[in-house]
Amino acid sequence: MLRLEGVSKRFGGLPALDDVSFHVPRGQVTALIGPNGAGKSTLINCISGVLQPTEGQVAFAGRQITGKAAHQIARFGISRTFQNLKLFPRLSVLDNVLTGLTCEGGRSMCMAMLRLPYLRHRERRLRLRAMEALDRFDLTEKANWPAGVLAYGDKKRVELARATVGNPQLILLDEPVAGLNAEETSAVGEQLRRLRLAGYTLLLVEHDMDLVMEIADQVVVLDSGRCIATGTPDQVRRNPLVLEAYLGRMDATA
Amino acid sequence: MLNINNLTAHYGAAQALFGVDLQVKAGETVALVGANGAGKSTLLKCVMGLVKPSGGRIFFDGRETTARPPAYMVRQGVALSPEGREVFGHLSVLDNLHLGAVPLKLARGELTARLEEVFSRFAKLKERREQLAGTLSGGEQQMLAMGRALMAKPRLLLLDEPSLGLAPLITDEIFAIIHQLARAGTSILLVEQNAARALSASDNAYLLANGRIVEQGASSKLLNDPALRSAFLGAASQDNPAASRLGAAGLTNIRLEKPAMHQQNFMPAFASAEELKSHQLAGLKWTLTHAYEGSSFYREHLEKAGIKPENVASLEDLQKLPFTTAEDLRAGYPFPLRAVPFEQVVRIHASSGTTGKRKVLSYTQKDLDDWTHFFARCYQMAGVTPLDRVQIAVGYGVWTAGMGFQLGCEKMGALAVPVGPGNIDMQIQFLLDFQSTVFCSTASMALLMAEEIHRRGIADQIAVRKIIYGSERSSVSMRRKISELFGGAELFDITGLTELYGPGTGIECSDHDCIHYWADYYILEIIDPETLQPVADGEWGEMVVTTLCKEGSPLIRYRTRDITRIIEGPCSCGSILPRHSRIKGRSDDTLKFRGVNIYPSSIDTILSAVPGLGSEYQIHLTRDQAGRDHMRLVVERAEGVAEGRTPELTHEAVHQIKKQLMVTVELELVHYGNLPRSERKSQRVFDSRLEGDIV
Amino acid sequence: MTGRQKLLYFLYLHRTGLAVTALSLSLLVYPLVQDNPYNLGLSNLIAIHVIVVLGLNLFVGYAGQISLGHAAFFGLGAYGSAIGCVTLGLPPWPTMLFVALLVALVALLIGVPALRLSGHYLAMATLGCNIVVHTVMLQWDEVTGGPSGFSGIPPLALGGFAFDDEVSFHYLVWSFALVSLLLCLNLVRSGVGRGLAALAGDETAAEALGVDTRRAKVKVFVLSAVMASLAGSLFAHCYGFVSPDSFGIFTSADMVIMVVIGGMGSVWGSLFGAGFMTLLPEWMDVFEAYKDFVHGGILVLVLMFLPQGLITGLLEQVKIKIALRRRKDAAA
Repeated sequence: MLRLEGVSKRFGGLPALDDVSFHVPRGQVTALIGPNGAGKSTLINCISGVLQPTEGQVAFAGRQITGKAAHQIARFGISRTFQNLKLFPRLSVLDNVLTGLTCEGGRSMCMAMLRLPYLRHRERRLRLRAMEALDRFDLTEKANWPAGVLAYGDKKRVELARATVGNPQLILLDEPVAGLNAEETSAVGEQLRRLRLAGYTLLLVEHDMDLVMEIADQVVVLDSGRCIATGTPDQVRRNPLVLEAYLGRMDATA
Repeated sequence: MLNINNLTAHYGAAQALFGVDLQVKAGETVALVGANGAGKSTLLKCVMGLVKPSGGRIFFDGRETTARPPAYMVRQGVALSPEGREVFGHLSVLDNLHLGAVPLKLARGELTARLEEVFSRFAKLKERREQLAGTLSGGEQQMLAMGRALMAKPRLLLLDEPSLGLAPLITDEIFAIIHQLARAGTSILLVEQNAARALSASDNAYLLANGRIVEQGASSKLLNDPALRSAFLGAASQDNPAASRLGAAGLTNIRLEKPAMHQQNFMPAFASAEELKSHQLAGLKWTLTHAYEGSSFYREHLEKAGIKPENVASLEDLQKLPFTTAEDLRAGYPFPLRAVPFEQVVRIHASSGTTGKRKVLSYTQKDLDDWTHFFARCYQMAGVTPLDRVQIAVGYGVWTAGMGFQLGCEKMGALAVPVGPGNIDMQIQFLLDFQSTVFCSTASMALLMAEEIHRRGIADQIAVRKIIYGSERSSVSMRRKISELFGGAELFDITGLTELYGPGTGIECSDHDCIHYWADYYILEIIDPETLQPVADGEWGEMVVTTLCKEGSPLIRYRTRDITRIIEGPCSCGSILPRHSRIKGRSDDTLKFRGVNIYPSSIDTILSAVPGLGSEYQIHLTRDQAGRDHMRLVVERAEGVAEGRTPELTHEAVHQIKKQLMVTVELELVHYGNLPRSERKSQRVFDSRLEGDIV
Repeated sequence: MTGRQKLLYFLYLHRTGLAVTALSLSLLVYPLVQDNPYNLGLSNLIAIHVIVVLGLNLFVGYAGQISLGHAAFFGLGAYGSAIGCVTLGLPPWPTMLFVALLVALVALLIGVPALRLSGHYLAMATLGCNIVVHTVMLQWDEVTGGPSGFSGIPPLALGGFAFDDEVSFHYLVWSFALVSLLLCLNLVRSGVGRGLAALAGDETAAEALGVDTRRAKVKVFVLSAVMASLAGSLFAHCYGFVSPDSFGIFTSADMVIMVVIGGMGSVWGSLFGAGFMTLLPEWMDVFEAYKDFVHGGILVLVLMFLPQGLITGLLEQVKIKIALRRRKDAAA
């Protein structure tokens, strides 16, 4: 589905990613873990086109997407969420989710201005789809609230709804449960499991190891910009390199 | 040192704090713990002067500082490391640190000394002193935020969520630094969501919920209070409180796969389309001869059409053969189409036909063996293994369903739980007690079970991974719903009909939405039900089958009335067995409505595609006094969809039906759960138009 | 569905269309109740401003960019029509369209490089353009008539009917304004409009949603320039006279103030903003000498207390209050 080959990224000489290669299989959850500063967010940004890798190739569904602009990559069917929520606070919750369907809303400005019947029907359909997404995330009652006033947990869910409403082929999730409490975390975990069952392919950056171990099919471990291990959660958990780099001092804190 | 009395705060109209009292003594670390939105950050902001409290007073070192500006607070010796770091991304690390001391107007020498002190605490920052703060990792940014606060040499340090979004290892590092600071005599007010962590790092703690202090006391005591543990600390265990995030890493409930046991292969041996064709031709020739010689019905039937078995030399000649129909079967009651003497017949099955005489089919031992074999193939196709437990909730008895599922399951080596249909309570109990992994039923029954599981909230206590269902059409939304409520089970539509052995003549593969059928047991043709001519591959039409090795009651061009189409090309699942679409409907249940032929399934498909509608619907056809037909659809809204959305949903559904079927319907939306569900096939079409004229 | 539900749904579904219809009807009868040519002239000026402000609001309020040079496009439209009709003797309607096309081209040429900038830089770049255009109008005597302006522009006519008095012009110019209003309302209610709103919210997020931010910005910029140009042409034909004074940077600033007062990203607010700022001098003629101070003061006050603009800001405050109350109720 998504294949990275030798992706490297340097910021002014400092390597943030160094020769990262791995494969995200279709219909599975791949988790990307690693200590802070390991380059996880940089990698997500390189895949989604916000940053361009210095070297290496990213291929999605058999197509090269290296060097493509972020909006083109989004149109190929890759959607994402952001670590530090990027909702549009002034728009209503429903409109926020509708922005996730921007690609399907038609791109021609002239057509939009004329608002011919076909566009009206399409709009109604998109609205229903957005409402359905809100149903999924239990946000229906807040559909008309400005997104800015929502509680943090709700905002996270709006972002998930926005990322999934367009039925993307691949969803990049940058720390979907950061800052949520145990209850909210398990709720989001449940949602992610459902997405996986519904056939979505997920690439997940996450620190919450419980969540990762529970829902991931494959775990990729980054450390200092290098990919140090890839495998099932079980394999990764037993990998001494990973234990050292990431879970190393677990015993010390325990 | 810090005294907060009866503090209240508002954000616009919303009150965030309701009379909070809090104390931080000199040299003490105080943790403020609570869920999102409890008001923790607001409290810190009030202390810092970033938010003006609407009531109450704040004293620092005995002096009132309520609503003093932040710069004043910094000069007094209070510094804040804000939630989410809030470092200045476009400035260098060094500049960021300098900014921490701006309100103090320090001399150059003092500034350098403090910088060195911060760098000695955070060695990583020193390495990156010239780097832009925005390019630092999360952990480094947190260190920078803390370092920036420390530049003011605060006597009271306010830390807002220092571990937010950090890897466990980095969190350890941050907390180690917090310990050091505390030991060095800095008072710390620590806001944390990771309660276990915060409590083990502090002396005293306050638990904040909905803007009020609900509990306070020594951290060690709170940490061990069992009631609080369950309320606030989540999964942390008795002897390892810090482990709530990490601890379960070794104990997560990933299902352990048992080692694969010996597994038989039930897939056909042929490797190419040519091999299959020659196999089919041989089978066709055998069947014709066998039927011609063994069955008086077939002999007459073929002779009437002027066909002799030896006339058939290729598969193309199949089209010259006459059709066999359900009427032929009924007419031959009680033993129609029988082509072997009675001493070879070992069993009969009958259709569950509701009208007229039942269709009765005879089976020889070889027929039963064949059936069992390809039923086991169905299970194999669906990924069922000898380790699975198969709960069979279809009818046993004279009809074929139960027997087929049962024998195939045993052949495959899986554990069969033969419950039979209905009896929801027992089904649920068995799902829980036996932890069945595969559930076999009709689609209606599966939906009924799914809703019951949902109602009882036990989706996470059952182990069903796969649902094999058949014998009626199922809409996309119904499938989605069943899968969801079953906790994410995979659905496999299994095909089959009594006349053709029984269920199990084909099944959906793991890549879904196509049915692989067993072309080594029967030939499948698709014809136009009106003209009876074969349709092109990919076109919808009626399925016609000819068996290749059925002895008891062979079928020659039997019209099944099922509407489907051939899916061309190889399947992504890798199987070379040919495919057809899931059954769309039956050719004899099309509705004639104002001159338009409508399959109920096309309405089904349209409704499924409207987001927000449920899976259940009824079609009511009436005729008014003027003789005009009316179609009224009664559709359920999806679960949890508010009534307020009715007009929009109605508009969309009516529009889509108008657009795709070119008929206007009335649509009534009812609340979720208002339409009846049954364990057997649900009746969906209610046609009260009068048939024929009344004199 | 009951009849009441159906009626409510109909009203809800067609709320925009109904509102525009109501507005059109009231404007249709306005000259019947108001026959004072001065007042009609004012309302015509409002209509011209509405057209400019609608376009500018799409660019400033919706797409979240800033332009301090829209008076230049307004002026280019006016002078284009003037020169085309008088100097070159071309028929007015085609000239109007042709000038609009030219302005679109100019906007494209300016927009492609300038819209790589953002914030202050973009403001400076557009301001610069305006000054250049203004200077050309002042200095290029033989074509533009210099500081004394350009007069003798014929009124528009349709068939044999000339739009030469206030009443006829009222219908002409408000038709333009209403069509612009409808087009803008349609635009912001579409996927494209949501893409623009996303763009104003956060460019990275908008990109991630598949919005080609650079193209979108340029497109809206060109669209708003074309609307300004059309308004300019109408302006020229309405008054028969244009002078560089009307198209200076203070006019640009006034237009931005109209947008801000009406509300960033509020199409209906644009109507209010244009109306308010056009009528303001009438209510406060004492302050004529201090006009720019008053305008500046209003801008500062609005931005300080209601950064989303007067109307949108107030509405939003109400919405947030309601949502917060419901949130509290839900929590309780």
